Amino acid sequence: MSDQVESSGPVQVVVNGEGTSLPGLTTVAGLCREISAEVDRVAVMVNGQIVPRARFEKLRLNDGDEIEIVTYAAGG
Amino acid sequence: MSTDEIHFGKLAFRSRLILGTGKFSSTDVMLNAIKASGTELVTVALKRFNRNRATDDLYAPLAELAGLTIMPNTSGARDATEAVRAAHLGRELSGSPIVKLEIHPNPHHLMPDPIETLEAARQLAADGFIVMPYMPADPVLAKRLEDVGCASLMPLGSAIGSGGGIATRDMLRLILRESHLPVIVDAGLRAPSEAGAAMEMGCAAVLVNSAIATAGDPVGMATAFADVVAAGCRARAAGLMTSGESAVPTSPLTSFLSSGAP
Repeated sequence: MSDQVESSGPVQVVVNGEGTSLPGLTTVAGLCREISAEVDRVAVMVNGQIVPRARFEKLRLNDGDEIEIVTYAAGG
Repeated sequence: MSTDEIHFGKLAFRSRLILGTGKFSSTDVMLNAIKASGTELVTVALKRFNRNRATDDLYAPLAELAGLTIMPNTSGARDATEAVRAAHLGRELSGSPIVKLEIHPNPHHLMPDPIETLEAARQLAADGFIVMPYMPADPVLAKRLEDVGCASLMPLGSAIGSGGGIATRDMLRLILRESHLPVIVDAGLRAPSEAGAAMEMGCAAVLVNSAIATAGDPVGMATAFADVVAAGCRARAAGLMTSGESAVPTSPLTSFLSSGAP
């Protein structure tokens, strides 16, 4: 998890516990687009750190990053 | 207690009925029950986003209801660390600092963990959250939660989803007597009359989910709860009569019927 470009080519990450291959370097916002998650309806953690929505477009994902994407569920 | 607005931190509400969004048969039924209840505050849980189940989306339909504040909960958290993380995720989603703090590690009884709840409440209050803790009906813990900066106290009436009513009445009375915070009965309510009783005792609000969501007619039940909660609130404000063990006549006990000739 970094703001710098550190590699190119396919990037292997873990999204909500599932191994996921991304076509290339992307950001949190790019990942959301890839999986059809609307950025204003999800909250995101990368490697255990919460990513404020304002950083979704800036924060680049790296090989091995573990990403949690959560949204509302019905609950009391 | 007045019938005016109730305040949790900087947030103000007129309705004394808080709804949970779980267990409804459909999103439409849930939305109609929310409207019928007149509530201004609803709880939601968090889950992992699932790209294959986009129709589960709750965010958009809730956002369409005007005047509704969303209170994410920390359900699923087993300790303070997980609850604090869930609260921060919830705040990212809701854009609001209000959080229902709940830590109940045992799935069989879902009783709140008082030690982890207190620690999480301390951290979240320090982080600027409006902390609404689901808690055992324990006046000592209530004082501790008040001391660390919670915005309300939410003792259980009985176990979550049990419909056991207010089984904690004596402890609830102690909390109400000692606390300076709004007290909300959070779990176990089954019938509107129980919610009315909680309001007459001096509770500031009640949180209801299963009793409405699993009713034969959830919209009708939401209306019934709203009516009785409002009536209980007015009754409390009006001042209930004192009770005693002896009869006190309401009519003059004159003896003219038995005196004199017809």
